Amino acid sequence: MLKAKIIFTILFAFISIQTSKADDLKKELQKYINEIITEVKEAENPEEKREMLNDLFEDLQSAFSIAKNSPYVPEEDHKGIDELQSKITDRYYELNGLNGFNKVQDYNLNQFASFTLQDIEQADTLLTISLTTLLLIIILAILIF
Amino acid sequence: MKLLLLVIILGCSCLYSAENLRIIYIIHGDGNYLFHDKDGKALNAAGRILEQAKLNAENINRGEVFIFYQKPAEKFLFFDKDDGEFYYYKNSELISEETYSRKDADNFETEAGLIKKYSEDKSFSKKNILLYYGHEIPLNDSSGYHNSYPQKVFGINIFADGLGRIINSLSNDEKFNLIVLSTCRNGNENFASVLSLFTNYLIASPADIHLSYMDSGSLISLIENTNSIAQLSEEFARSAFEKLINSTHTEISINLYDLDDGSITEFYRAPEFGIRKKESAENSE
Repeated sequence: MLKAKIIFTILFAFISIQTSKADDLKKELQKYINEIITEVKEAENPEEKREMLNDLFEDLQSAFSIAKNSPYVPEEDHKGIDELQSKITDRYYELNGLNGFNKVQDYNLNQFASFTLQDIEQADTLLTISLTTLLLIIILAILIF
Repeated sequence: MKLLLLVIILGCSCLYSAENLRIIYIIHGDGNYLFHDKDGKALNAAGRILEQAKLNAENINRGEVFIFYQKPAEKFLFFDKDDGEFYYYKNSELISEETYSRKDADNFETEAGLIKKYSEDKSFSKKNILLYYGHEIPLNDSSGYHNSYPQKVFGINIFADGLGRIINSLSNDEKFNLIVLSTCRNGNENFASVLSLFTNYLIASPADIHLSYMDSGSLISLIENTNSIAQLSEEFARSAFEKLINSTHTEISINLYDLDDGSITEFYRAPEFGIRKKESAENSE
């Protein structure tokens, strides 16, 4: 199973490098986050919603951290990654009522999920991140974690 | 006598709405403009703005509307396809629709040429409004703004040169009455200062603005129902602000700058989430 995942990952990376523009990859990342947000909204109970959001935040954090420490990611992309990382860290704290944030109430979880996506989408941060870095983040967040 | 007075008053109040207008839309669609609404529906902001601009143009009975849509570059076989769309409307009629290439042109060079070609009255006796839709215009000229031409440099100085080019294609040493910048973080002193050379009023956001952008749907009714460009500008900003707060959970901040007297009218809604307790306490004081 793991072998198949690795082969798929390499294949995806190869095809993506050949055909994609940075623009397409940014859209892929947005679509991926939106899919999870949609699932969160469709989940029946608050515990499930929280678990899904926490998983999303943890996956993205891990992907950002690994991407930032990768030798293939240029220095000029670090600022953009830092901004995204900071946004996701804050959402994690807020969801769980940590680090000075009020915990998001159960009845507000759907709105909070929408806010999370809009907060990422509205910033022009993604524009500054290169194709290689975005590809790495997507592979890590979507395909590996 | 009373009837005569009434006719005079009505005549005066209609002067503004009867006045010819020139509206220029420049839509930067060469980038990622995907966003999701509150229901998670995927939408393309640039495409929606283009549709709204056309709809407005079809309903403005007195005046002309120029629409420029800068779209992603594409190839057909080995040949570059045109990556700019242009629409010219006069008194609600579509007069011309053509494509153009942005590849080798300086910023707004082709656009200024098309405005010069089609505008019958080159003077600024009309009310002139320019709306620019795009991502944040960098303060320092830098590359990467145009997705199809990542090496092309863009920034406030190049944008300002482009505005000057458009104005000069019509009439030297004149100004727009209103410029709307539907972009992130361009509502600040630097931009206000540079753009004061080109416009009387500026609407721009000092913060991030969600890709649901500043809606211009109010324009038609405002043209009919406002008595001055000051009133039109304020009501446009208010309407765009209200549309944004109804469709987002994020911080929304829109400023109206009167660049002649230096005053600023602010429209602000704090984000529904993302406020730390300490900040929250400070804000409430």
